[in-house]
Amino acid sequence: MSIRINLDVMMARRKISLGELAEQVGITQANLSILKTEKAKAVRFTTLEAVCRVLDCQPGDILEFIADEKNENE
Amino acid sequence: MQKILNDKLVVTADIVLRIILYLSIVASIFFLGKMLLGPVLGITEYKSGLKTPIEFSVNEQGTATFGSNQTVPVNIEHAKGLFQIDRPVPKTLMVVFFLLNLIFFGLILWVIHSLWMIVQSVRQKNPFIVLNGRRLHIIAFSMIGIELIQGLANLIKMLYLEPRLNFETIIVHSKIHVSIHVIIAGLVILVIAEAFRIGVELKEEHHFTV
Repeated sequence: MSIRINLDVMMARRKISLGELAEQVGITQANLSILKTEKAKAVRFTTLEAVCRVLDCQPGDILEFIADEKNENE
Repeated sequence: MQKILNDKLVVTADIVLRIILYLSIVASIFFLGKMLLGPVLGITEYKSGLKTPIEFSVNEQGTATFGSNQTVPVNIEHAKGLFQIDRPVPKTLMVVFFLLNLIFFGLILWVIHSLWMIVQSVRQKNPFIVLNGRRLHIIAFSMIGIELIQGLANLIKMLYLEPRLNFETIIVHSKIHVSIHVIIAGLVILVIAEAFRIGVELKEEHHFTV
């Protein structure tokens, strides 16, 4: 996958657990886990906004684009 | 009320399909076993079991009565029937038919089993899964396959057996019996399976949207 999710890094920096974050964001722990483990196929702007507000960060701190090696060579 | 009725229908379908599946397994083992032990291996007493639909020309005169006194002449010119050879036919031919029957029964059992599994997933309120899309594909291809195998079996019987048939009063002219309805039904299920696959993809996308 070429979008990496750095949610665990930000959570560690803010010293917040998955359960706490899920509660403050207002989504289920299972859904947040899907995002954290990079299984999510799409992220709603509302979810992203809430996560950024709680973690006091920018979307770019959570989402990172990784260029594929194959595309890079081209 | 409608929901309860639908639930009952699904439960009934589940039970009926289960019974049909078990009966089909028993019938398949019985039929194939009988064919293997009899015509193929020659261990037991047997008939060839090659029942073949045929069409033939006849010239049978009769009458039809309408009302109280109106009788009109009727003529049968064309008829359909089944013939069966009671004595052994070449073993190679029987082996070919045994293998065709094996595939035929296998496909039928596969279709019933796939349908049963779909009904079970509906009972568990989780029908929109990738596996059910595949099962629908299996059902569609199997239906087409079953019809083509029957057509092939009839073609072999027609080419091999028909030139050897001699009757005094009828002239046999076979046709390949492939039901176009079944093939169209198979194609329709194939389209539904594809729509189902797209639906499952959309559902998964929705499920994995946070």
